[in-house]
Amino acid sequence: MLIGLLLAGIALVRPVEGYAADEVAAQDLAKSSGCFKCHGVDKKKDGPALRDAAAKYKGVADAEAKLIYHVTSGEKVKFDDGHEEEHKKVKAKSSSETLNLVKWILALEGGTKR
Amino acid sequence: MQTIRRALLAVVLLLAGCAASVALADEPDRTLQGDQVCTRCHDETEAKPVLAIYKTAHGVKADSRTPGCQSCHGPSVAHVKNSTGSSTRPPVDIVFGKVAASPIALQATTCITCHENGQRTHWMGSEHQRSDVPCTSCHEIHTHKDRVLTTTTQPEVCFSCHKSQRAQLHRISTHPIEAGEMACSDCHNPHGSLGPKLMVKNSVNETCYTCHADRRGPFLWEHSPVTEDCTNCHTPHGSNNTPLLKARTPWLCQECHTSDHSGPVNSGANLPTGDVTTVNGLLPLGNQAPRSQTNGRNCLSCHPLVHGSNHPAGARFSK
Repeated sequence: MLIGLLLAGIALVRPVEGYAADEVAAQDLAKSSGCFKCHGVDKKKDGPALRDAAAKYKGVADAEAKLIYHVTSGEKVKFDDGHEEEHKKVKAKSSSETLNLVKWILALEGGTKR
Repeated sequence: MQTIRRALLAVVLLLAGCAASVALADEPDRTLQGDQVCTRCHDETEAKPVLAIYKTAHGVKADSRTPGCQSCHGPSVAHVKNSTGSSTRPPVDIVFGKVAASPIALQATTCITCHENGQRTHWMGSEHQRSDVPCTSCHEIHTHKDRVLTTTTQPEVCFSCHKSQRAQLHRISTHPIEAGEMACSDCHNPHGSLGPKLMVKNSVNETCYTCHADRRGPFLWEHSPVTEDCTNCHTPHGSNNTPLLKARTPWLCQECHTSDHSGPVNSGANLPTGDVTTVNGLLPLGNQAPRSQTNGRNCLSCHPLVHGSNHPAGARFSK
């Protein structure tokens, strides 16, 4: 009984893989960083819809790392008309904020192209 | 001859048509379709509201005078195309605001181009224009309800700069601004006026008379400081002396009336029923004590008609 309670306590305290992202904080960061200017959640704009990005990375092992690089490195991205621009860097105060944003994006379900 | 005339008329009309089409080509597309250049990125997800402009007078597309995004912000080709390829786009041609914005004169000119009439006639040379206050310091163009255009919310917009007036409004005697019955623009025209202190009328008194018509007169017996300027006695933003007086009576009255009758405060000297208390303009020490007829009263007890009287015997503004 005691061991059972102890194990339950550890399970509650220990950080869980794939924890639910703080949706409000992620959206605030996306808004203040200007992500939504090119990416709608459900709507394709100059960039793909965030749901489509999530669908694209579904099942990809290093999806988080790839997306973090995408939103922090300023790498070149190609637009529909062929011209290239540096991707905006998110205005996060810490890496955990960026991770939260990426987790929220990857947790979006039902890509618009389905 | 008639054929030549017709030919000439046709040429003139053709040229006029060409000129008109060139002029139209220079005009930015003010339709919703034209706005899409901007709204495809700047949509409902913006940190500050953008699309709410379509709920305002600036969004009434059925009105041919209504501008589009590029009418106010300029064509902004560099911003739209971002030919630099940088993650930070060049700003639009005309950025409104105070910080990192276009020159204030350019901002104002953009607005005044359409809003030059009526209340804005005297914008050039007005206090706010000379102090480089951009229109967007007070006005929120993209929001549904511009706070400065609503009576209840306008004072807070003004008080964000005019802080002493905010403080005065917390005194016991004020205009009903906090009650939401009136706003700053009932007395002041922030866009400039011919009167002092941006008064809506040509003088302080004229402005006050728009509500306080009973003080206007004409009076048989005028009180000269009243007809000269209401602020000789009143402080319009708030006072601890009702009604909006600069000081309590009798001290307020005695700022001018320093002669025998009301000389020393509450002395009652030289009142009709009092003693003659001055000798050669000097006050004997024994007469310093207040007389019973003025003790605890003020001048207005006997002279309530200080704004003027039409009574044949009203020279002293008595009842």
